[in-house]
Amino acid sequence: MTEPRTALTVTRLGKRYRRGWALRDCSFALPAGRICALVGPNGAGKSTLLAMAANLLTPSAGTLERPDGQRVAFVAQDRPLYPGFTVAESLRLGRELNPSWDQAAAEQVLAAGDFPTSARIGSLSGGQRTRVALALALGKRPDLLLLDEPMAELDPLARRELMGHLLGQAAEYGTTVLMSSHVIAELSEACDFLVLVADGAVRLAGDIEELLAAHQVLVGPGEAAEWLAGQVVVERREAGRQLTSLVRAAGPVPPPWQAGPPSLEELVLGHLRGQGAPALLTDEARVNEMVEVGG
Amino acid sequence: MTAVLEAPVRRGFAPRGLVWLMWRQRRLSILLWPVVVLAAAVAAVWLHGASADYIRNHGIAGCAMISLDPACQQPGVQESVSQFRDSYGHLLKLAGLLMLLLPVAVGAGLGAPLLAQELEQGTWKLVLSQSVSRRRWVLAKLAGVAVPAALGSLALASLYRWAWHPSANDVSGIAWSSQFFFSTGGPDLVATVLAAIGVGALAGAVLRRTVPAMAVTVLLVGLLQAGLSTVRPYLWSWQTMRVPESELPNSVWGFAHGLIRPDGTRLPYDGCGALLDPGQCAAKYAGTVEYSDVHRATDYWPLQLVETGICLALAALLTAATVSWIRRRLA
Repeated sequence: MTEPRTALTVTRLGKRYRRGWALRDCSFALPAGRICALVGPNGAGKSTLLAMAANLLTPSAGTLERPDGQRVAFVAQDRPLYPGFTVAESLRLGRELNPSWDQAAAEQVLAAGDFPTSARIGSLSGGQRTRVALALALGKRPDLLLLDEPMAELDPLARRELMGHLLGQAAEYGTTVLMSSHVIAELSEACDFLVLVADGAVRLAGDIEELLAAHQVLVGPGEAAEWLAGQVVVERREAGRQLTSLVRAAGPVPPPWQAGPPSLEELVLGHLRGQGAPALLTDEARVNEMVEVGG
Repeated sequence: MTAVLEAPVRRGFAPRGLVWLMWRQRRLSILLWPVVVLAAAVAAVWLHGASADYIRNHGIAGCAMISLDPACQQPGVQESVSQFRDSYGHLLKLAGLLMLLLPVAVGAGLGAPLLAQELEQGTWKLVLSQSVSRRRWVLAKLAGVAVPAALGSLALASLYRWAWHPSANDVSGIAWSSQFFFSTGGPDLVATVLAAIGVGALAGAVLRRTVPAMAVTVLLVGLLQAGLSTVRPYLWSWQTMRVPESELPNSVWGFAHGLIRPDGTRLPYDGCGALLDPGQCAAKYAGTVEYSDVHRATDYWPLQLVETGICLALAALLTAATVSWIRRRLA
């Protein structure tokens, strides 16, 4: 049974293509109502994970659990829409194929767009198509909204306006959002939860504040490096005689080290560059795997 | 559920749900059918009328090029029949040929792109992200093509049958058993078209690309039609007549011929070795006569229905396979 407060539980999930595993042994839980950033380098398996969560892709291994009756909306990276349909017809598709459809919610997304609803999808720009795809997704009034690179083709103004609208809707209806991106700066404002995947596996998952608090950026002279040996070092960089390191320090940091909190960008980039540290999942994000007791 | 929202008011016959989507996506190909049927109807009315007039005016009803009927052995009859075959008969054959190509055209033109295009353009993800199951979507897509195609080809087959009727078997030389008529003037055509749609849809689902799916469909439907015409005579019990091929009435379909000995053993025509003349052969094997395996005209409906059944079963099988492929193997 999935707990009602969890919007998505992923357990040892894997997807294998002919060329190999795109995602492997991936486990995390996403609490309901959170705005989650799914971050990772290109080819890390973000799109694969989202497509599996949207029921468009069958897992090769592991399970995905969602509460019964949960409404899921998905905006795929290539924004699939029928090029011959008009914008209005595309919304009608959503209305005809979903038992609960909120035409007003869909039209609100289009309101700030600079194109008429009589325009053909084929004549729209990438950013305009993104807006239509988002309108279709929000018109569905989803409980779980899956967005693959939602901001990729939007100009900065539209990006801000759409993200604001999206977050407003999510807050109003308690929607859980899982969105992938590799632009970290824009996620730090919008998101309160993070899942970092690299090389097909989860490296970090949890509340962003909590994850940040578990890490420190240390700056000190190279000679003091000995102390680092006893700590969980995510990444270390040397510039001249100065050593900068992202660590999960177990206790107080002794001088001459100067400790400071990392930014979200430092946290993510540190984990992408330094591959040594074990994966860190906060309690909220951890999956309580049923351990079968043998014998 | 509390979030069911007020649906916009709709008028009487407006299609809804998947039916609306199918109509919106396929309205051009759906509207093409009445246009084609209408054009065929105009042609059929003219051909039927002109054939019937010609036959009446020349008094050649029931006459072939060579007929045993004394009424057909009047001077001028053979010329009139020959002239008919060169004019209206040619047109009838040409129409039959076009009808024979219908399953291939529908299978490759409408069946193959049905799913291949959605998979190619990624739009399957759009539809399946709504509240629609894969099974319902595939069945709706197939129905969106199959229902208009079934009605359209039924209309075309009926029109062809009607246009063929005045000159049937004898005057036009197009017998009920001819490839031009058997596969095009009855329910068999509808069933073959449905099977062809199934072939195209499955090929498109598996290959995921429109053009290769069309090519494979042309090949497979062509093979299906060739295979059916090969096994056709054996789909219903037949008779053996001790009559040479050349003496069979026009209404009888002789599909296998040879020599038969009094004890019933059969010899192919070259069974006498170098002795090519049947007469010499008969002398060698006493009592040997020529035989023909035949279907009489009354076998038309049993043969037609068995073949229709085979094609419908194939269409059902292909539909099930397509649904299962999209449910299990698509991503």
